[in-house]
Amino acid sequence: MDKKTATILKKKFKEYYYKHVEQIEVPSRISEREFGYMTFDHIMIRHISFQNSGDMQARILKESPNSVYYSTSFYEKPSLPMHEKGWKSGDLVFDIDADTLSSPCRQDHDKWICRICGRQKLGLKPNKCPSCKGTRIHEVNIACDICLDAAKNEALKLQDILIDDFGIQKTKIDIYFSGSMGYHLSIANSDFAEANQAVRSDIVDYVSGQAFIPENLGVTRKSSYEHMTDRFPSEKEMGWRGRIARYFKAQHNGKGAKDATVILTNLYRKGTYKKFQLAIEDAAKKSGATVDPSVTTDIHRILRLPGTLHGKTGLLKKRCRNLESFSPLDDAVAFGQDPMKIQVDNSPKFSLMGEQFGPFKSEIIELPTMAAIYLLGQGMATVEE
Amino acid sequence: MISIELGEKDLAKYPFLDEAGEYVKARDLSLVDMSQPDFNRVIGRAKKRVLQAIRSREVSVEIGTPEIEILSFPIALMLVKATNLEHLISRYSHAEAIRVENLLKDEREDLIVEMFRNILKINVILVTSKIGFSKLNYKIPIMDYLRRATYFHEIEWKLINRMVDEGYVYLKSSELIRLIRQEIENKIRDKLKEMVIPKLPNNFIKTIQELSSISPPPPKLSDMMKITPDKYPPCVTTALDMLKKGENLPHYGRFLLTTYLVNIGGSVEEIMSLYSRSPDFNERITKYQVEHIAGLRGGRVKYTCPSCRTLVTHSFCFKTKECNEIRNPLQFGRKTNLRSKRKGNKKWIKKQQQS
Repeated sequence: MDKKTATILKKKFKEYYYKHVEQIEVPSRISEREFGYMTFDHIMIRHISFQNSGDMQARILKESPNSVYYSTSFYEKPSLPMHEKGWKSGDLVFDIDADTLSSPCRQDHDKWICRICGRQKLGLKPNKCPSCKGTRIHEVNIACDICLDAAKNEALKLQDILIDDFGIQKTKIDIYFSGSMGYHLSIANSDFAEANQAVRSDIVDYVSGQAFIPENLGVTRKSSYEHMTDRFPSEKEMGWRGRIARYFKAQHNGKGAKDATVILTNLYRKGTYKKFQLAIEDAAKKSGATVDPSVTTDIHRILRLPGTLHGKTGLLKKRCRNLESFSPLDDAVAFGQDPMKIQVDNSPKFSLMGEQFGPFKSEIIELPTMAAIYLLGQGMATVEE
Repeated sequence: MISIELGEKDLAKYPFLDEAGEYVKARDLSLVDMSQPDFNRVIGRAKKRVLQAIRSREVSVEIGTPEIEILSFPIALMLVKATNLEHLISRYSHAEAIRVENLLKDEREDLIVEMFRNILKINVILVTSKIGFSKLNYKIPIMDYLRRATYFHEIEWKLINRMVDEGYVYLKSSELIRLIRQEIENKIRDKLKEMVIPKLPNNFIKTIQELSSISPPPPKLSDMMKITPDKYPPCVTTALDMLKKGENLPHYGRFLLTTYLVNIGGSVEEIMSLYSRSPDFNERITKYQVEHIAGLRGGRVKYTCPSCRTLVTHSFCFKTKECNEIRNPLQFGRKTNLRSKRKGNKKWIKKQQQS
């Protein structure tokens, strides 16, 4: 990002924070958390701590950074280097990101730039640059309603698993739109606050349907067909057995009103055991929620602070009071309609507040502030005065 | 303390309970008492407990005369402690824990629930209705389960392979009991560690010398650390192959490869040379990252290799038969070495028993 663009973005962010400082959420037990931020020069500052919300707000106003982060963990001394902080406990957090869901729409709205030869193109990032064969390829992800809906769907699946299986009350799950491509789910003060990385890793595997073995369904490689329907789960069963049964039932909807136990028995009898095993593993993965394992398991991670702006989009990390009806590309828009003149460098189409923008070639155009900041933050435009 | 009535037989089964300690205390045994010939049966059983631990790694259940069974436990602890052999302390604690596990398998449900709640602070709840396809008699809070089960490496202990509902994990009694074996072992080990040995009568000293002389030596760790590339675990081999082919090795694969090589004694230069084939190689950044992992920079903490469970989570586990029961890629060569060592030990035990 050139200096002029960085200065303008910082100015816009500062104006926003001055008007909406009360929208920045104050995390609980603020003095036990680590804070960090990234400047518009892409310098990361970490290991900051605040005694109260006033100190936190003052610092955000003063710096008006590209991104503000807070630790999901609590420490004895949050401002010391990592190994001296003294980890106490941490919220249980999950990150769902649309760019890991490979929705087909990405072909239409993503863009890549080769860091070596400078070639750029709309569409999915290749493994190697077709021109110079380099692998240092920068990816620009634009989120559309389709991929954000896919992310929301994963968040809803996760919410159900947390409520049904983990017994966590719905009101205790804080859900946020991340400000860019997905959702964050956070659970404070639960039984899992003191969970170490190994425990959190096992929870990730549980919610994402990893490492499910078909033996849980009551069969092995050499099971006899007798009483098989008694051992296979019904749709009403709890936990993963029920979830697998509901998956197969849903798959067969419209193809006769068979029970899940019958569908599973047929599946077991028809092919090899290996085939059955693969079908079950696939069902588990599809029924689970796709989350980024490192966000949940890394207990020293810092996450975007709710109520702050995402430096790449100018959108807010926003609390979703009702996930089903939340519309990120409307509800998380922070900037308004005042026109801004920018020099765009090949941008795919995107939409905000129901209005579609682009695709743009290399051209100078005037756009509403919200759309201009969206392109400037992504590095697809520079400021033109 | 346990709120249900415990008989002498219960104490004989579980002599590590505080109630059993009270029972022994009430006898107010002096050194003179312990030197009397009628105490020989207690000493005999105590010695047998330790011998069984040495020979078969499992203490037998002999509750025919509860008094002897109860009294012989603290005496056996004394004998073990007095040998001053760390290895024997571990071995004995483990063997007593196996004895407890065997007993708990046939224990009445109300006593199991009480013991778990009082000693281990786990809120065990009896389940009456049929859950799933097999009989699951108990449920415990998920966190109480995970805190213990994450130490087990078999896939069936992963939470996803358990019946889970509304914050609880449902378990068979054998599973519930297996889950807490380690804690019983730790409890016995703690008792041994805290114990202060009084001046012992002569009849003890001979036994202690005898036990010390037949206790097997601890395995030597130094032999296990020599690992050549043909003995790398499959995940490390896959990572190396990907680098050789010029494929883009994902972040977690890089972390695994670097931590693994650092931990088996690879030098920063050797590790860097592997990455130099990578098309996006940046010498300065790679050097910084490898040195950071090796503990030469930043926090000065050498990173350990991620566990097999973590690799499964990050989709970088390429398990083969040879992996067997390992929990961490670093155990790949070692565990098989250990097993062959154990076989050697068995031969040694047989020889001892014959002599």
